[in-house]
Amino acid sequence: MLPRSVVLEPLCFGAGAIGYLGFGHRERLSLVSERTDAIVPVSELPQTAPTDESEVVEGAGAEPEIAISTQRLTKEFEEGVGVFDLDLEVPQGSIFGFIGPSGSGKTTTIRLMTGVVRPDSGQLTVLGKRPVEFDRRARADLGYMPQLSVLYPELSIRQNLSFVASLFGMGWRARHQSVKETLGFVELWDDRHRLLRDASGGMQRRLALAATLIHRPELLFLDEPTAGIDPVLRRKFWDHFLELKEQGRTLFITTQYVGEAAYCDIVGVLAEGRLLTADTPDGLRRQAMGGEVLDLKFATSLDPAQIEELVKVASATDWDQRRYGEYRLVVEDAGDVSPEIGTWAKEKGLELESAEPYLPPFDDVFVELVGRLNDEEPNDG
Amino acid sequence: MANSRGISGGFTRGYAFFKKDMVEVFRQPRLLLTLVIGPFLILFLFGIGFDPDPPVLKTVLVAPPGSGLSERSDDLAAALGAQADLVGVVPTVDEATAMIDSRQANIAIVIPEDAVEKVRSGEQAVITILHDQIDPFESGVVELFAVGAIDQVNREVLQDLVVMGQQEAEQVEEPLPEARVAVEAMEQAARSEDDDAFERGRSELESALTSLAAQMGPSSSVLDRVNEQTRGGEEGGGPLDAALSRVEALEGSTGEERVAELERLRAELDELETALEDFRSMDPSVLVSPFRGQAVNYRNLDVVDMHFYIPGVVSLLVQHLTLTFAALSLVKERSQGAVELFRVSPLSGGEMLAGKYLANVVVGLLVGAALTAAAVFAFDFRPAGSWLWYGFGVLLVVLAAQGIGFILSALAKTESQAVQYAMITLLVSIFFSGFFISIDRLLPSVRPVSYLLPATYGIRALQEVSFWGRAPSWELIGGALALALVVAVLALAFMRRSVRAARPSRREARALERATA
Repeated sequence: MLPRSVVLEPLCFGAGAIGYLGFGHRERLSLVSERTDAIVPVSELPQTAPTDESEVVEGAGAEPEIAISTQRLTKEFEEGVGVFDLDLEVPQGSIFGFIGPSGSGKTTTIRLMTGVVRPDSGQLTVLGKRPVEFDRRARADLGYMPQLSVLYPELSIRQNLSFVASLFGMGWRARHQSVKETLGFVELWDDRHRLLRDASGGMQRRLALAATLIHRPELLFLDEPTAGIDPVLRRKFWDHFLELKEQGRTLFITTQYVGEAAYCDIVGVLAEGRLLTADTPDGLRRQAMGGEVLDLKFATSLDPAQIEELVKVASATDWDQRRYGEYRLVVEDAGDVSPEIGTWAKEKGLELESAEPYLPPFDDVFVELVGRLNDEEPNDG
Repeated sequence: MANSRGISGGFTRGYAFFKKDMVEVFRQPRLLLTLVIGPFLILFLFGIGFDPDPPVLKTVLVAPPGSGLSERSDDLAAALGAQADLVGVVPTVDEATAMIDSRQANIAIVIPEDAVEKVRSGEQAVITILHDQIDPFESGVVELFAVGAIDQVNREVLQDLVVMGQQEAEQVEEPLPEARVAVEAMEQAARSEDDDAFERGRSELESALTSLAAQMGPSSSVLDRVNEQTRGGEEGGGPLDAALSRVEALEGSTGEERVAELERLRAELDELETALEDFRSMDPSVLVSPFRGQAVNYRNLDVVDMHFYIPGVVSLLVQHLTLTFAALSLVKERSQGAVELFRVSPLSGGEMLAGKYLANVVVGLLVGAALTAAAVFAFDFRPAGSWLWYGFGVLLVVLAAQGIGFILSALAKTESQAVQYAMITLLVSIFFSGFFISIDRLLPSVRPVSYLLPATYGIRALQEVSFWGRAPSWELIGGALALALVVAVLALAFMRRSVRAARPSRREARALERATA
């Protein structure tokens, strides 16, 4: 059973986001009328992720192969701590973002998937095999970037990378070539002789990423790869991830930065070891807001009767007045209702200055979503 | 691109750990210097500070008033020998203990007031040595000194007695010619079968010998002992006793028997005369202590005291440093999270262990070489045997020590805990490896602890090479290699557990097999 509240870190989830949205009356809004099913069949998910928050992606293409599949996967370390009844599917060639606060079970999930930890119960297959049965060849198909730097401060950047390459049995020639290419990919080639202890935090994270890629794995597990690095480098990291996805790799990425959800094909939201939901970024927005959000700006303020009529015309599930003449509606499809609202305003002699869909920041989306899903928990039986 | 399987892949992974560990060690020159120069300084200080001679004891003599010992302090000082420095003669025990308390003296020799009376009454007079040592070693030194000093006093007394005996022996010239005359008269009487003349001669001979015995007094016993020790005479009596016995035996003898006995008697008188001459001419100190001990190393091994400890110090420090390196190496991998990376990679525990073993062997041998070089440079140490065998002895220590280090690393959760375990092992080694005290002095029930320590084998092996100039015995080599093998197997088991990712339980594996079938 989910608890009534989930403690989220303000840094990542944006304190005060609800007030910013202006939806102050949660009991009136009822943004999500029914509990969202946490399990999202892959076939219902879009296969291409939006690279920009404004981009809306439609599902398309043949059913992809599954890189990771879990069913009721459970691992409990002590009472209430662990991962519980995890159900998800990660298509090959996609980026799966796993988002949740610290201690929610993201790293445990990765450790289960990489075979470091044995599950207590449930089913788990990674690249068609149970992780506890991985042989050396199967392990060579995995790349793992731990949350913290685990490389050696006394070794140079190149030596560290060469060491990791050796762990995968790469011979001298292949190692040399791969080290050169990978350091170039993460823009560290010029700093290859620098000792890791003298490298900046950003360089260390880039080296960790390079160490994950050095043996050209099919499936990458990246445990909070962008934690503690500046926004510019974060952006570069995501550029790298998207490039890797373009190359056909599958990426399973955990993060506390909910804003990074926009880069993912599928986003799973984890809290206290349980998957609250998994959906496309756009789907998560819809779940959080109960539909699409449309901002309207009239030349004058509307009277209550006009507002009631507007809500009816737009089939809005919620509305709020933000400023004089400015209204925000939650509708099923902003693109469909905008012309109808324009027609209605013309008929009523109202001057509609603008009608624009509003894309709330993911920080706000997640705060709303987590709070909403937790609130519904008692009714979930 | 990855070559996860095969021998070359395994070699690449093992070599990666070797190279990585070596680079890590040599990238920390300060750590290396601390680890090598620190122990060398300990060795150096020990070498220049160690005094193999027993300490000189500041001695105060407690002499009864009127004993005249105060006036003879120079003689006493000389008698006590070089180990004692006579700092004064006081009349009471309290004064002597006050001097010990104030560190003016280390010991006090208390001469009893009733010494003469005790001896006259046939009892030993007890000379007491007072001290306040609590260190068992120092107490032992004092006790040895006490034994030696009292022995010296006894010898002095005996020597005085011998001198007196020799002076008395000068005056026993007269009875001996009388005895010879009596013997000649007895021989004539025997030939002429004149029993009366024979009996008179026997009586005169007995009188002369009794007179001789009375004049010689206690010196006759000394003379007997001299005769026994120097001429192989029978125990129980000297030539004088033998002559007296024979005179008694002649009483009532007849014919040929008398002649034969008298010839023997003449020989015994000759022997007695020679013994008397020897007694008079011999050095009294030789008579009192006719023998002295002399230990000779028949292999002609002349080991400098400081050199004796070098194999021990090298073995102990090589063991400690190798063990510490090994223990820290794995704990460090674990604490910084690298093991997590290893678990996801195709790496096996054996490959990791092989690489780390190799790196530690090189580091351990280098540390051993550095310490030995320091000993050569600072103390002119050279092993009598081959340097190759010496290096092999160090290798035995390195091989066994690092296995123990890896086991300790599996038990330790943090780096400081690993260092603590290493220090405890060092402490155990100091007491049980034969570094300070021979293993032979340990109870058999405790000795297995010694045989679990690499330094035990290293010390013995390096001593054999360094001082006897021979290769370590096969028992030593076999024991060390067996220990190295056992700990390596255990280390491998621990290493596999550390590196190994989750594996299916046996039940799961069986279920999987069934499903596959």
